[in-house]
Amino acid sequence: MARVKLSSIQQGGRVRVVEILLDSKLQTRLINMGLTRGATITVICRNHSSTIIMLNSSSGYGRTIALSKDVAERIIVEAVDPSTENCNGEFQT
Amino acid sequence: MSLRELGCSVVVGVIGQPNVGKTTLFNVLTGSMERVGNFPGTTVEMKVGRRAFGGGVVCFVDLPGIYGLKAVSVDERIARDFILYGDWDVLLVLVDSTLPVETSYLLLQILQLTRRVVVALTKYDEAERLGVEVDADLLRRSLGVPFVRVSALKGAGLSELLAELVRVGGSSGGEPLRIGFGAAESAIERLARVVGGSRARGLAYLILSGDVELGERVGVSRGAAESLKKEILMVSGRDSEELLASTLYNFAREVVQPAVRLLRGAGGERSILLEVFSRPIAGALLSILVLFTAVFTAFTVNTGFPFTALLRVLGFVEAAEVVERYTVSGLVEALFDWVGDSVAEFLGGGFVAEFIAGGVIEGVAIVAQFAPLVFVALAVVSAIEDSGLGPLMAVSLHGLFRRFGLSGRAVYPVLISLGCNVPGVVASRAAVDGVERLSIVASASFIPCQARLIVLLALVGAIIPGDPVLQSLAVLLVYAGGFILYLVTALLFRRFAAGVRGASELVLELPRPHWPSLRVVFWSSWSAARHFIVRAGTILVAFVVIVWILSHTGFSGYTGDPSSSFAFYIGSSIGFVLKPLFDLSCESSWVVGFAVLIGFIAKENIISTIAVVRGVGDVLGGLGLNPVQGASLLIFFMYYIPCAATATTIWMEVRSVKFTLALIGYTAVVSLTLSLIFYRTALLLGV
Repeated sequence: MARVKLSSIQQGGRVRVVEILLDSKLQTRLINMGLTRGATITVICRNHSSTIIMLNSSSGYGRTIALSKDVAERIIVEAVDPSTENCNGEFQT
Repeated sequence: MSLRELGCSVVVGVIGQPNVGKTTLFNVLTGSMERVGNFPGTTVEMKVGRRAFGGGVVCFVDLPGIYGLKAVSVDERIARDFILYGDWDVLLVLVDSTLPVETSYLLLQILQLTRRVVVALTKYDEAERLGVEVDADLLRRSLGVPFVRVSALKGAGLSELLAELVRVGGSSGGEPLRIGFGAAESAIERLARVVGGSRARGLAYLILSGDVELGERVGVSRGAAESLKKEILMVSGRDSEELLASTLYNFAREVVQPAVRLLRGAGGERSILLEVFSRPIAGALLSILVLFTAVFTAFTVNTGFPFTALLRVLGFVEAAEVVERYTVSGLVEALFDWVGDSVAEFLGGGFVAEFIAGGVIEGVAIVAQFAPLVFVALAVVSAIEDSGLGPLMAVSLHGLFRRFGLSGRAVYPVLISLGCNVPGVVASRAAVDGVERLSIVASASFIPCQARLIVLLALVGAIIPGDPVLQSLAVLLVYAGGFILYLVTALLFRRFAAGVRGASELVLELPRPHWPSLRVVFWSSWSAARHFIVRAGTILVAFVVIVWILSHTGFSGYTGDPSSSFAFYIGSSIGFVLKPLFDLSCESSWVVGFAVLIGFIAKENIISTIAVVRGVGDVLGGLGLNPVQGASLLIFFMYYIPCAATATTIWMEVRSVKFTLALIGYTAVVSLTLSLIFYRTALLLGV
């Protein structure tokens, strides 16, 4: 799957964060919440103004975050490759 | 006053990520909270709670809820500076048992700076219900600090937690945690050598995460830090902040994950509320319904409105009056009327009796009448926040408010302001960012409050007598006008005063919704209301006393005749401006000017002032105004300057005299312009 904006991912889509193109302050906020490059996320809901995602967690209850459309448009994601996916959703280092 | 002067034998800094249950635990541990000045260099108040334990007094300092220590906001700077430079003995770090890996991120940042830490694993009962069990002993062995499982709501684990806090508070804690950072390790190590000291690696971590200010404070130039960050980028191909955060999260997984046991297949639970609130139209409608129900319940408890309005419409006028009499505000008003009359009778009349009964006691009464409304409104907001519904509502309404530069959270202040602008301004604290908060503060006073509703109904009844349909339409138009002014002012403030384009961005964690804790709701609301009474009360009472003196004294001393008082001259000076604009007569212009002045103290007094001064109940007839003049003045009265209580609250929220005065000037100009446009247009059209 090509790299696309998070805002274009449909509900239920499971993707990996490739790049975050936000200003430093907002990027820090997302990083501190766990939304870093390599994090796998599931889109819970998407509408015209916001995208709600869940950070995949091994405990099963990942952090749920609402992002406004402008923010979701600046997060680049790609599909999770099932063959290489770590079931714990670990980050790439 | 320092914490040691408060008699604290152990000082505990309480810190955790948002939604980990910090407020609940703080409340259960301390039961009360004091404000002991501000955090150094900020206007953010330091809140301290105390608890007697083991023969001493354990003091808890409530630090802001933050996700990480890199200081990009005031909250993060406060937390970072308190941890690095504050006078504390031990840190109580909260980790959510339902999200143990994610919420350990902040803990790991802190452990790189100090091990004088006790970790509270909060919400462990909820975690067990969800099928997640966290092994506190394994975590203690892995990270070298005590982990205590606590349930604030059940009171479980608190004694053990207090004992650990006292024990660790009296120890050195040992060396900070050392974490390897792979491709960034070399840069971390070299920077740590420059910084020096036992917490050098933790500081190096924060500096290379982009905390430039911290770097300069410990003697690392911006250039040196940037050079090392570039080196990390070249070696790893990744931004240093992002690489360090990812490494820390992975470390959390390596260390914390083995201590997490899934008792059954967890993760399948979906929130029905989340599903409903995330739907564009249904979510927005539900949010508005919840807020209207909650807020109007608050107003009904306080003033009977809108229940009393409904009773009157249905013809039950006497029942409405009974309800008004026995509401909280009605009882408070009756109490102070009785106190005022008793004092006047005891003192036997005269200037002193009038001054105490009509000035001092009346001033206290105004504050006392506002206090319950403030308390209940804050309780409503607190309950919505504590239940986790607040973030869901903010998301569902974001689509509407973003068109005006606001985020979905701006809906709370709007609805609360319908009852009273004072708690409406206070509710601006829910805003996402500082600019949005100021936008709301600047706009909230345009929302017609209950006090203005009294003026509105009286004037509309006089201008359009005997036509309930047109009267209702006029009332609706005034409210619609208030909403439009609120939104437009917020947009103008954001664009031109703050110089920011686009809407406030929404990045918001959505906690699992749950029933709010009544204890926490009461505690936080009472704490804030008490603060309001003490601070706003002091200023407002002084203000009311000054105005009373102006309206009861003149050049010949004490006078019972307002037309020979200093207020007459002040009213005349305001009336002098209004007279040519609205073609007012000499007799009516000073009374209108005087009403404007009185309306600044309390808007509901505008009508009574006109009626008392002119000696007739007919507002328009008493002033000799035609309906067009009356309608123009109605527009002016609806939107002109915030009342004294609101102005005082605005000043308390922004701590800027300049901002407050500019806002008063802006609202005066806007209201005058709108009313003049209406008046002149009506004249041109020959109405």
